[in-house]
Amino acid sequence: MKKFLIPLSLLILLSTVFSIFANERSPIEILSNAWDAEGKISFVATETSGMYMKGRLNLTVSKVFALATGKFRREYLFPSFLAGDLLIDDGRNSYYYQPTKNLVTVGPSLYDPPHRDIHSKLLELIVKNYDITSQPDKFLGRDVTKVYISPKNSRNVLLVFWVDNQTNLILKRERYSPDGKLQEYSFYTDIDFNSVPNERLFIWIKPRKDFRIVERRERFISLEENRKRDTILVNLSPLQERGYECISIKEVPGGIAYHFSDGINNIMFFDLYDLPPMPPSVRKITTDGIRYSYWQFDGMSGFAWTYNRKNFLIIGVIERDIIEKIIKRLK
Amino acid sequence: MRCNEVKRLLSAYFDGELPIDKSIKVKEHLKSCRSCAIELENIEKIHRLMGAFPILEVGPYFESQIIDRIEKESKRRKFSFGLKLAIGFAICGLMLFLMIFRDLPSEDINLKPTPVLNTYIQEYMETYSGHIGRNNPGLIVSVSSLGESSR
Amino acid sequence: MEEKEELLVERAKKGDVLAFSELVKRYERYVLNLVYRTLGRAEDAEDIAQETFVKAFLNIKKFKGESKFSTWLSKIAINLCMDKVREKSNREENLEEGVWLTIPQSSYYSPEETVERLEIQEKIKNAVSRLPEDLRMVFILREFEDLSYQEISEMLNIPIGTVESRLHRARMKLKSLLKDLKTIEEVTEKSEV
Repeated sequence: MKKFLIPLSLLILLSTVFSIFANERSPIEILSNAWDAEGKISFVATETSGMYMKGRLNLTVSKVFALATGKFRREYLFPSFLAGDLLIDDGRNSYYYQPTKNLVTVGPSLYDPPHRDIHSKLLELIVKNYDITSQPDKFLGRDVTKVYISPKNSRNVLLVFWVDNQTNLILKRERYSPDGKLQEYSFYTDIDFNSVPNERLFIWIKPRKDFRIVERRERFISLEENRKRDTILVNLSPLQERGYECISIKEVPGGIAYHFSDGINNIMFFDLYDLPPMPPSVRKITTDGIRYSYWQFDGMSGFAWTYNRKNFLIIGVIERDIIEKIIKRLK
Repeated sequence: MRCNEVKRLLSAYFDGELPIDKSIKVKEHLKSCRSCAIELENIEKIHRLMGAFPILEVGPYFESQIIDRIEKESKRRKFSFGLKLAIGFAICGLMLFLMIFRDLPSEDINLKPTPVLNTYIQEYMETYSGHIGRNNPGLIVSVSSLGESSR
Repeated sequence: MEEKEELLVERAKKGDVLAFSELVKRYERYVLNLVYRTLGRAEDAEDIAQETFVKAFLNIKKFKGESKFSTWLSKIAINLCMDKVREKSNREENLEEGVWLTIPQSSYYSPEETVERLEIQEKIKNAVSRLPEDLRMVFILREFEDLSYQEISEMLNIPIGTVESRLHRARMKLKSLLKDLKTIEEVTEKSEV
């Protein structure tokens, strides 16, 4: 009996130690690998996504196909006004076809370099500004690691990701508001990692009937290029103090848009040739001699002002006093 | 009891609201009448179906908006000085509490953005779903209560 | 921090907004859904639900504890709904509105089943919304609030006989509205969440 016990207990000890080390990836690594794996795994699944807006839950159910070479296809199933809509991302362009509107919206691919860049910067900022923890879990019978992202010094979780241990695919995700209410979620069911979708599925084929095309071209300005003209906007200290960084700059109709983020919260800062007309219901506030328009709508705030023949518009979830600091700073 | 009378009483029978004597008579009738029994089954099935009725979830700012509205309404009404003071302190306390632990949003306006403004709001909305609604323009479309989406 | 409701109400009567907000948290979902079902549409539901609480706070001194607090809230909510309904008579039923659902726990359904379940929910909601207001009101209070005929009659200020006949008509109408939902049997099996 003893002869049997010693090697057995040794085996148990070894396997325990081994499993501890095998799972020794840090939460940051796990999130990073998951983030990275996007567009690099082939699979077919059903995706259910929900987003809360003004108390309403808006839900979509769609069939998704992904290729490890950075291609993606989504066929909408639900609700009825989306059923039949189709999205194809072939790695260079994205095509969103809405048959009921006879409309195709063509834009850049989510896997092209500028977007991959933004995606990885978001991750860097999350690591910098937030706490990341993890714990093992199961989802749909698969072993996953549940990754939690919360503000430093707070236990209120803002983002949760369920990362598949085997493939690193994010199987489920949830986003919460700072006061703990669920705001968005998305999860896959019916996942098939074994069948590789046919390449044909990711080729955009023009429909037989008449349709319109809307082009959404994005012209990104690199930070170096921007440095020649303007460094002030990129380095706004009231934002930097709160962990925000400018992660992309691009041309938009009417001016330039600076995308600031702290990894989770986003602010769009527009430097415009002309201020757009404001709806009459906005408030007008004066600070330090500068008059600005202000609105708040479902958690999003907007601020618009003109100073010295420069026109600025800021949209995001941000407090008024920070914006007032920015306005004064740009005087 | 005859069928047409029983059929009229079936709803109340199902709800347990019939007096005992009528209830017994209905029960007796149901034992031998297939068509009335089916009617009762239908009422039961409708009842079960209501279990699948959609349930609304409360939005994130529901409670704070109520407090806002209470504050505004309270201001409009006439109070005795002492009462005014008491409510004022309670609200200040609440606002302080909320300011420390949560941002108290000022009143939402009914924003009907002009088309140009809407394009900028759309730009912002795209960053919004960076983590969750990736590659899901349909979700943004369905959520877009801010005027015609160009996506 | 489970404070007793009576205590919260007492404090709210003295103007304690913090105590009242605790009551709001406890009943917000309840009131919202009561308003949603009574109105028969999602638009305005949150607005009227909020109005209910505002009105409750401003009139809370009138609440003497003779009924449950939730019952008192329900009366306020229903009255506000009736006002709203009278205001907007003959409104085009907008069936294209976004879908309103609980968070689906359905991690284990096939895509066809998921879509089907959601469609069933939508159909049920639409059928109930199609009931005329007076029938719908009684139906909601019976099926969702579990009120007795006596309680419904008090709440709506109508005779018990009227409650009974309206309920009966509501059920008959729903039977025909939901007839095309395959057989009701298959549907109830599939709709069990």
